[in-house]
Amino acid sequence: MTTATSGRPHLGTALSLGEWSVASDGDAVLSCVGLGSCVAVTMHDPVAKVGAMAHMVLPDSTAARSTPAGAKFVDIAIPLLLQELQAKGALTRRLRICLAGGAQMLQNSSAAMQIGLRNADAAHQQLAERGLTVAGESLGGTRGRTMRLSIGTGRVTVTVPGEQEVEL
Amino acid sequence: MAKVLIADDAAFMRMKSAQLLKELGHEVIEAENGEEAVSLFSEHSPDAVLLDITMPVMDGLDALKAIMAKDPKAKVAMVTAMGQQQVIMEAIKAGAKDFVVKPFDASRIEEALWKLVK
Amino acid sequence: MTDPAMQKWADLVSLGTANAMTGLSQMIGQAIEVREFELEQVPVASISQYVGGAEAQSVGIYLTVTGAADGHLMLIYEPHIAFAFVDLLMMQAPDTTTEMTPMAASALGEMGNVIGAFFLNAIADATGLSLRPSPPTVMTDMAGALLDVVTADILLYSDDTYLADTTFATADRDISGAFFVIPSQGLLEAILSNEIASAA
Repeated sequence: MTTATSGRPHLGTALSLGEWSVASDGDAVLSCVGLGSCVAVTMHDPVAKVGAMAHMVLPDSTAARSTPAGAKFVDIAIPLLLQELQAKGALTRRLRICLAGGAQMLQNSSAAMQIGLRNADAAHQQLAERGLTVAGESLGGTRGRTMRLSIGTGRVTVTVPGEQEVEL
Repeated sequence: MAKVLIADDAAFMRMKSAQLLKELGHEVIEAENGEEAVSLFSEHSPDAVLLDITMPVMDGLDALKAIMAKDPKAKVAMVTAMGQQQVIMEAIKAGAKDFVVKPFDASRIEEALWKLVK
Repeated sequence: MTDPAMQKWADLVSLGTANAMTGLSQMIGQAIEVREFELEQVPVASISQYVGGAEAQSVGIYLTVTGAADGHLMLIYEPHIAFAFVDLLMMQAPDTTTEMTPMAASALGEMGNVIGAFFLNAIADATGLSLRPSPPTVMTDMAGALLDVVTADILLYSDDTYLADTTFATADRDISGAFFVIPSQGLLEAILSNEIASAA
């Protein structure tokens, strides 16, 4: 678990696997760098100017033998971020939610091995169950991605090396 | 001059082996996996077969068994990095005449071929 | 892992790595000097730090292990190191390869096949377990994205892993690289239980 630190100029907080962060500092930039089969979720309340991000690795904590702490599992990370944002004054209905990642890095892997696809499905399901919609997403494919959320502006970008940055 | 079937999933290895065999004056048929090797064996009846083991679709040990079932007199040598005792035993039991551990030098392949087609 | 188990694993990985370097040396026709061999328990989430950071564009050569247990082997190099290996493998002058052509990827795949097979051969022969490598997959992407292939599976079982980090160099060309062995839980359990059982 990490929390974005303030201080400027702000290069941003990169979340590694299973980490999450909630930030309200207008200069803060949260990022997930080098997402492969992992899925990152961003949630931002433009009125409360608070946002959160999680670097999720696996779809389902019930299949796990390891400790389900942090944001490692999609089914734990999404409710956790919603709760933490509310605690910081965000309103769930105002949240702009984006998803990125879930690539299939290996071709010809069996269905059970398609963790990227399963992560993306799990994220959609967790949000849909709470009546939340996805404002923008960049999911699937075979390439790694980097996703960034600027807390001050709510701007969400996705970059793939060698390609133009995309705004979600 | 012999007709030699080589099976390796790595284009790089097929290129190297084919180059070497052609320099030695042999005719080369290339297969990318075990299944292709079995069907090209039936089609071309090669004098000798050099089989990699670690290949997609069908591995070299299964291809060896399929080829020996089609022609018990087939002359097959395994050419593989997987030089584990158990694997060598399995290949010899299934009818492989030689077992060349990759990476090989040219003289080792020449020797294996000579043993197969003498 | 207990200390004796850790020591067994270290011994086996060291044995396998030495054999893998022998294979690589034969393949490129040059001596390989192992400069450093380290086995550490590290958080899975931090592995990308060992390969230049999650965003570093990298070349990964990935093999799965099947047989007595399932596992993964991955080699990760900065692109210029990977291209230097391609030049060695294809017997070309240094700096000939500047992009990942299908033939370059195939040469690196074969290098992964030799390194992976030699690593497993040594461990298989030492433990009596059958450990077979899959055909290699060669990928170019950010290190973090490449490592997801391995780390997602490990994180299902454990937050830590045992990273074997070998730094090696060729005698006459300035090529150094790292060879990581990151065992899956199943591979670790099978190897250690077998090894301890056979030693008992």
